[in-house]
Amino acid sequence: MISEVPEAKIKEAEAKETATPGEAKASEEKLIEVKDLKKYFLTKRGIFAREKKWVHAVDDVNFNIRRGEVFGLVGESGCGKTTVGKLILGLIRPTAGEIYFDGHNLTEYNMEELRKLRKRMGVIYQHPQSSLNPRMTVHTTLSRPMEIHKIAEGGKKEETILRVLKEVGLNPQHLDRYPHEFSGGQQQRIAIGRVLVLNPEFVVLDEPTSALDVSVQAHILNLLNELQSKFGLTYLLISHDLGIVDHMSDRIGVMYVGKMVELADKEEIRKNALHPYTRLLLAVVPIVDPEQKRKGVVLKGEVPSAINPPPGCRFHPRCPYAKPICKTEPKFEDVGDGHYVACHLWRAISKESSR
Amino acid sequence: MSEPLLKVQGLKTYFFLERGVVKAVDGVDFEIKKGEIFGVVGETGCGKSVTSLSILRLIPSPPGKIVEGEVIFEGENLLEKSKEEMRKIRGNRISMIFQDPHTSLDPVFTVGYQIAESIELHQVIEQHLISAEEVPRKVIEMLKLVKIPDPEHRVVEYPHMFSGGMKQRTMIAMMLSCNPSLLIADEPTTAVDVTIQAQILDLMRELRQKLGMSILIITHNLGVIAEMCDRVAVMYAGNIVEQGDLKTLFKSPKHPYTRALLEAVPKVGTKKGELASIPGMVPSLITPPPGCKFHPRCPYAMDICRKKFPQMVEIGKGQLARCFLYGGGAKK
Repeated sequence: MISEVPEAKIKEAEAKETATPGEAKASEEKLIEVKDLKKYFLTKRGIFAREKKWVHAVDDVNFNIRRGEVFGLVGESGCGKTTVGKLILGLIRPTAGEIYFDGHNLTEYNMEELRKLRKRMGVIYQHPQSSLNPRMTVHTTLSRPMEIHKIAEGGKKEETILRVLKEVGLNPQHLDRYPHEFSGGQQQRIAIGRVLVLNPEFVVLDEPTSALDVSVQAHILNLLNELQSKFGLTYLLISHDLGIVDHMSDRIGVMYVGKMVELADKEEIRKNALHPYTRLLLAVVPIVDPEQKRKGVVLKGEVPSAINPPPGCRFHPRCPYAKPICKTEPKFEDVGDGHYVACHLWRAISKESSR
Repeated sequence: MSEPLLKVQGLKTYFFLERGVVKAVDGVDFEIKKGEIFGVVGETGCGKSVTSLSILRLIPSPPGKIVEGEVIFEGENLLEKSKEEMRKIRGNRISMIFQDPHTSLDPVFTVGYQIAESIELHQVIEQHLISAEEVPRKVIEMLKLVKIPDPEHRVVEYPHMFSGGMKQRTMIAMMLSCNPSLLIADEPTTAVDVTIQAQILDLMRELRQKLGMSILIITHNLGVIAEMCDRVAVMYAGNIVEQGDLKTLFKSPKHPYTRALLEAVPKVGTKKGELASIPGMVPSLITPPPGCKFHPRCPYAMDICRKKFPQMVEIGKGQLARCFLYGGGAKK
C-alpha cells in the first residue's frame, strides 16, 4: 500500500515536467521554514575542562525554502552552514528557534517521529568514501533505506533499485560491488541513488562535489540538476564555492560566523549585493579568465572565532565601511523583492555603488 | 638569450608496484624562466605533484623511481647530484610549500623555532651568511615580510594557535628565509577559504616582485592559474598535453582536454543548465590506452589517435599542443 505513494508521485512529477518543460518552477509554497534558529555547542577547554565556552554555530537564522527550488547556502568554513543543514534534517536539536518541514514543527517531534519524517528527506555529503558503508555492496546500500522505512519489498524493491541505478548512471553489473571498487564520482552516484530510492521531496547537498575533480564535478552537478527537474526535488545546497552555488541555485543565502547576512535571488546577489561581506566573496573568487582581473579589495584579517564573536555585526572588524553603529546588532531586513540584508549601512553602500 | 632557470626534459617517474608499473610522469618537458610564475594544472592523478617531487628528488624510493630525463636547474642536472648535494639545494635554492599547512608544521615546536631552524641550518651552518646572534632578528623580519600581525609576540606561539591562513604564511616565511631562486607551491591555497586564498595569492605575487624568484604553482584550480601565472602547462595522465602563454591558452585552448576542462568549471554568472562535461574517466596509469591517452574521452578522436602517441606541436607564439588535430608529429 505504502509503495504506491512514490509511484504516484513520480507520475505527478512527470506531469509537472511536461507542463513546464526544462526547469522545475519553484512555487510560492514554503517547504521549509526556519525561524530564529540558534544552535550553540559547548566546548570544554583547559585542564579538566574547567573552561566552558559556547560556540555560536548558528545564531538567529531566518529563511524559508520554497517547494521545487534550489536554495544555496554559501559561506566560509565555520560559518555554520553545515550545522543549518543538520538542524533541518533533525539530526541535531536546535538550542532555540523553530523549523517547519511541510507544516510539521520539527522541534516538537521526538526522535521516532523525526525518523518517520526523514523518509521524505535525503542528504548527500562531501566524502562518499566515508558516507558509504565499506562493507555493504551497492545492492545492500540501496535496499537498506527501503527496508528501514518499509517502503518496498521483494520484486517491487528490486524494480526500484534497478530504476534508480539507471537514473544515476550506473548499471546492474555494479550491484554486487563494494564502494572501494568505484571512483569518487561513481561513489557519489551511489550516494545519490541511496537518497533517490526513498523518493524524497527534499535533499540536503552538503558540499556534494568538493572532493571531486572538475570534470567529474560537472557530471555530478548535471546529474543533480537533471534529477531535480525530473522529480521536482527541493534542494538545500551547501557549499563554499560561489561558482557552484551560483550555477545551481535559484536563491542564495550568505552566512558569516553563524549569521545569515544576505539572502536574495541569485541574479540579485550577483548584480546588486548589498552586504560588504557578500561583495568581498564575489570579489575574491578567482575568475577563470586571465583578461578579467580580480577587482577585489583584499581585506585584512581573518574570520573571527564563533566562540567569542565580535559584538553587533560580526563582520565589522574587517568591514571597510564600518561605523560605530556597527557594534550594535543589525536587523535582517527586507529591502524589497525578497532581498534581505543584515547591515546598518546598506542604503549608503547601495547609493555609493550606483554612483 | 638567457638560460632558463629550470629546464625539465623527458622526465619519467614510475612507481613499481605489485600490480604493475604506474607511469605517473611519462615524459614531461617544460622550462621556467627567471622571475616567472609557471602553472601546472590537471586533475587528480595526472602526475602534477609527482613532477614537482621529482624536481626536488623527493620521490619515495622504492617503489618510485625517476627512470629517465633531466632536470637542469641553474645549469646543473639535479638528477646527477648526490644526496648530500641535493640536501643543500633543497630549502636553499629551491623550496616547496605544500597543500596542508596543518601537517607541514610540527605541533610541538613554536613557530619561531621552526623558522629559526631552517635559517640556522642553511644560512649559519652551511653558508656562514649570518651569525647565530642575528637569527632571531631575521625570523621576525621574515614574519613581517609575510604580514603576520604583531610578529614579536606571535613568534613564540605554537602552530595550533595560528589560523589556517597564518600557518600557510608561516610556511611561506620559512621557505623564503633562504632566498630561494625557485619556490614550488603545491596546491598552496586548497586548504584555506576563498578570502584567505586571495590574501595568500596576493602575498605570493608581491613577494615575487620583491624578491625576484620564480614560482612553480601546481593546482587543480583553474581560477588560481588564471590569476597568478605567466605561462601554463596542462597535464593529463602523465603528460603535458598543452602548454603556452596564459592569455593565449585560456583564450584559444587548442587541445580538446584543455577546452573541456575550461568549460566544465561552474562560474559565477553562468546560466543554470547543462555544464559541459568530459565523458568517461581518467585512465589507469598502469595500462593507459594506446595512442593518445585522451582518445577514449575525446569528441574529435580519429583513427590515428588510437594508434600513435602524438608529439608536442608548436601552434604559434610558444603555444604547444599534443594532438593530431594540429599535426601531432605523425611519425613516432
